Formats: sequence, C-alpha cells, structure tokens
Amino acid sequence: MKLPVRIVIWSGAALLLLAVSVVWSLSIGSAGLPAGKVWSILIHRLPFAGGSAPDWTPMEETIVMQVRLSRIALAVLVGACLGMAGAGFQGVLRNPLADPYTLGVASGSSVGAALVMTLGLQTALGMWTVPSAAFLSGLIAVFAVLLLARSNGQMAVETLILSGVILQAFLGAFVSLMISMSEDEVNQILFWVLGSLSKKSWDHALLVLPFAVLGLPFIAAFASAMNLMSLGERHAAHLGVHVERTKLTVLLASTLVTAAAVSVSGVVGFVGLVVPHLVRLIFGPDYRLIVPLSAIGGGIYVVWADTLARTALSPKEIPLGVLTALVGAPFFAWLLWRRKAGLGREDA
Amino acid sequence: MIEVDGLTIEAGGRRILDGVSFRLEAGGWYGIIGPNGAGKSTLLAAISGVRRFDAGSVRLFGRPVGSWPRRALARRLAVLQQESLPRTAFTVREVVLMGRYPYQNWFGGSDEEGEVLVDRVIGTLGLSAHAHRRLDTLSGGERQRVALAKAMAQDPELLLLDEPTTYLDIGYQIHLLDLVRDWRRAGNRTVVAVLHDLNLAAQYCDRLLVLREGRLIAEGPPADVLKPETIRRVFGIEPVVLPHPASGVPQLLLKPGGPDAKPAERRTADTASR
Repeated sequence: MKLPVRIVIWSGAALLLLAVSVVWSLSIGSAGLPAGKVWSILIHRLPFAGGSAPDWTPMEETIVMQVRLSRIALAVLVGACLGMAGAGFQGVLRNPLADPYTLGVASGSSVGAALVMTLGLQTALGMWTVPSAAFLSGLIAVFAVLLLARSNGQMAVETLILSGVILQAFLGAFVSLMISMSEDEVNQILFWVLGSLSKKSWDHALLVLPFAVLGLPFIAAFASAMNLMSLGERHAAHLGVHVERTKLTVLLASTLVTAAAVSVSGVVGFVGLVVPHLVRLIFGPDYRLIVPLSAIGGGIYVVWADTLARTALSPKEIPLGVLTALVGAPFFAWLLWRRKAGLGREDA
Repeated sequence: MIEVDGLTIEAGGRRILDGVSFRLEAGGWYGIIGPNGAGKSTLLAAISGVRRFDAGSVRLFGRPVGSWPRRALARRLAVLQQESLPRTAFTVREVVLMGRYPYQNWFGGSDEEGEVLVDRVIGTLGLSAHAHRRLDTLSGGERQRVALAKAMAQDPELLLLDEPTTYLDIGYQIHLLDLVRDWRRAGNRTVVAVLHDLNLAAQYCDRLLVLREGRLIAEGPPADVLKPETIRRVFGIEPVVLPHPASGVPQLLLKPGGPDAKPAERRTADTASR
C-alpha cells in the first residue's frame, strides 16, 4: 500500500478512536448525567442539526459544554503536543529514552512556576502569570542546554542529552527546595509539578490550540529527514539532509510545542516518551506515520488518563502526571514483552 | 571532476592533511591507499563536503564543494561508508528508496522513474528475495550490499567508497567490488575508493594515490606505484611484489618481520600514523 494512502487510513482510524474517546469521556462524570442526554446536548449544538426540543436544564448544558468539553479539549491538545514533540525529539536525537523533557523544558517550567508560587505572585499579572512564567523559564532552560552542548557550530547528540540530564538534576533540586520550604498544607507546587487539567477553561485550550495546529505540519515536514537520520547522521548528510539545521529546527519546534502544553497543564510525564514508542511498535519506523499518529495517539492517551484522574477517586482528583505513568508503564512493558516474544518466534 | 588544491586539515594541533593537491578526471576508478592515520578517510570526507578544512580548496564538478546545495550534490555524489547500515526496522526496499531522497517531495511517491531504478538496482545486487525483509534481520554483509544499493539509487556520477570491505569476508569483498566495477563501466561513472587491501586496490583501480602523514607522496597506475621501495617507505615492511599470474598487475606477498626486517623503519611509519 502506498504511503499517502496508509497515512490517510491510519490517521482516519485514529481520529475516529479519538472522537469515540471524547464522547465517552464526556458521558462520564460526578454530575451523573446519562450518556443519552450528553449526546443530545452535543448534537443539539452541531450546526444544521436543530430539531428536538431540549429536555435538559441549562445547568446540565453548562456542565457538558463548559466544564467537561473544555477540559477534554485541553486534554486532546496537551496530549497531541506532547505526542508530536516526543516523536520529534526521538527522531533527531535517535535515542529510545528521549522525550519532550530531555532538554530540560519541564524542569525549567517547574522552576518558573514554583518561583511564582513561592513568592505568592500567582495572580500578579492575572490568570496567565503562572503559565507565562513556566513557558519562559522552560524556553530559557532549553537554550541553556543548547548553548552548553554546542561546539564548533555542531551539537553532538550524546552531549545534548548529557547537558539536558545535568540541567534537569540542577533545576529539579531547586524545585524540591521550594517544595520543602513551602508551608502550605496541600502543596500547590507539588500539584503543579505532577500535572493537572482541573480548573481549566476554554481560554487554556485556545492558548495551546495554535501550537498544536502549527506544530504538527511543521514537525511532520521533517519526517523524511528524520527517517534518513535514523540510518545515522553521516548517511543522512550524504543523502542531502542538512543534519545540524534539521536537528536544531526540530528540537526548537518540539520545545515550543512542549512548553505551551506544560505551561497550562504542568508536567504531564510519560506521554511524550511512550506514545511515539507505541506508534513505532505498531506501525513501524517511518516518521511520516509516527509524527501524525503520535499527535493523535497522545490526544487519546491524555483524554483517557484525565478521565480516570477526575473520576476514579471522585470527588478527589488524582494528579494527571501520576496516572499517565501509572497506567502507561505497565501497558508499555506488556507491549515490549509481546514484541520480544514475537521476535523470538521469528528467529526460531 | 575533482580538483583538490593545497588541502590542509588540522585537528587537535596535528595536521591530518598537509597541502594535498591532485586532480581526478571523470570516468576512472581511483584508489587512495596509505597506512592508518595517513588521512585517507579525512580526505574523502573533505571531498564529500561533510568535513570543513583549514586551508586549500576542493572543487567538485567545477564548483567549490562548500557552494553546492546538499540536495543538488547528493544527486551527483554518493558515499558508501565503512560501517554498514544500522539494524533498523525499515525494509530493504524502503532503505534503498531513501537513496531517492534528493529527487523527492515529502511523500516520496511522485518519483516514478526512481521506483523503476530502485527495483532495477535491487535486482542487480541480488536483493530481490530480501526486498521486504527488515534490515535488523540481515547479516552485516547483506546490510553493506543494501548500503551500496542505496548509493546506486542516488544515480550519482561520482561514488566515494570509504574502506567499504573492512568488515566483510573475502567472498563478499570481491563480490561487492565486482558490482561496483560493472556499475561504473555501464554508466561511465567515477569511483574514488579508500582501500586497505593493496592487492584488491591493484586489481580494481586504474590509478592509485598514496598518502602518508597527510601528504600525497605518489600517484599513478598500480604498476608504477606498488613498488617495494614505495611500500617500504609508506608501510615500513619488506614485501615481495609479483605480477598477478592472470592479469599481470602487481600483487604483494607479505613476510613476517624478523632479524632481517628493519624495525627502525617500522617505527617511522608508526609515528606517522599517530
């Protein structure tokens, strides 16, 4: 089957799964709305659907359209950002442990957010104070790593990853310090670092939207180059790829997209690491498939994880970052084990 | 086709290449020989445009190598490296198709001519039966053949080989070089190869360039270059040179160093290699 056809079919199937996940997640919640009513509200809101008289209260409509749908939309967008960024990072760093946080964007954002909270400046510049601080400090951290790793106009992959690890350890210590110094009973900083989508509005989703929408085609444009780079940087260079330029561009684009997601959701771990791996295990090594499917897969993953986060121990919220790892790690281990078993049979 | 003038490359305070100058005409098979550390691979990397140099110039197809856009250059120049391809999950055909990257758009689907060429190259190299196998199921020798197929799919005028047979057994070595020879003749292409094995170099190359301590010290047909004096001077060994019984090109027989060997000269060559 030709590649464009495969991309369209699999992306279509994945989008369908995403749509089903969204509707399913919308139907679940503490307000105890029956699924049928949720669907009627949704259909009623579709253009040209019109028709039947509403049999729900305005309150119920607000819960579905404002509270739940905005949160689910944000989940889709955050997941998509982390998924595509993870694919980008793994593509140019060619390292199975690479994820969107490898170059320190999450640690940087955490320091920015934690600092604002420690100083009690959460609302100094309105509701966007914490996200702006997190976004900026995340970018600063990545620039520091890039500067640290750069020599003679080139960035060796090993040096990049090592620089990221060093900075993450350093900044992580700062965050831990601020958490331990804080006197709150329920620690805001800790809650932020663990990631959460609670108390978010459509505004947050709209903030992330342009990053996801522009980031996807931009990173996907480098998919062929990342395919060649998987053969090694020399091979790619001899086939006409500008290796250093590609590395820098994809890393910066993936970092921007990640920083946008992290600045509103906090550090949601594991998605950017595991989703591209899952996609690769199922659909093979071609980044022209991996990038778009990681974006959609990331969306599905976070929608499911966040649904569990808000319902499993309701009315208490489980931090989203805890759930993504708690559910994701065993699933990933199972897939790895199955693949290993499968390969063993092939060899025999 | 290749004009190298005063090429000098330094690294870590040492001159890897020191004022190398030569000119190679289109259509020949040129071999670069010399001891470890003589600068052979560095020279090849400079010619292919992936290594910056400190002084001198390299011109390819009439233009300075640095002024070539990478994609345009990849349509005229391919490189077969010493290390074969990594064990990826891509199939043989997918990897060979990557050789068409410099000709392709994003989807890689519009290059009909390329698809035909790729299938022909896969057939020529005897890879048809493996076309849909993944690279991580192939042996090192088979992966090197896939790398050659990928280079051929680039349809270049000039192919650079960097010790392509290092990790191969003698059967694969001869087979690989035969494939390159036939392909070169059929398309009147040019091949520049760094080769470790002087006997293979003598049999496949039209001309040899001898590097030692970053300098070009001899250049010419194998019969003129592969003389006992030159080999002693470059490698520090005493060889026996005989004409090949079938083709007449010079061939080396090695003898172990002993009381009658000249250890002082070996040391010279050793120092040169560091």
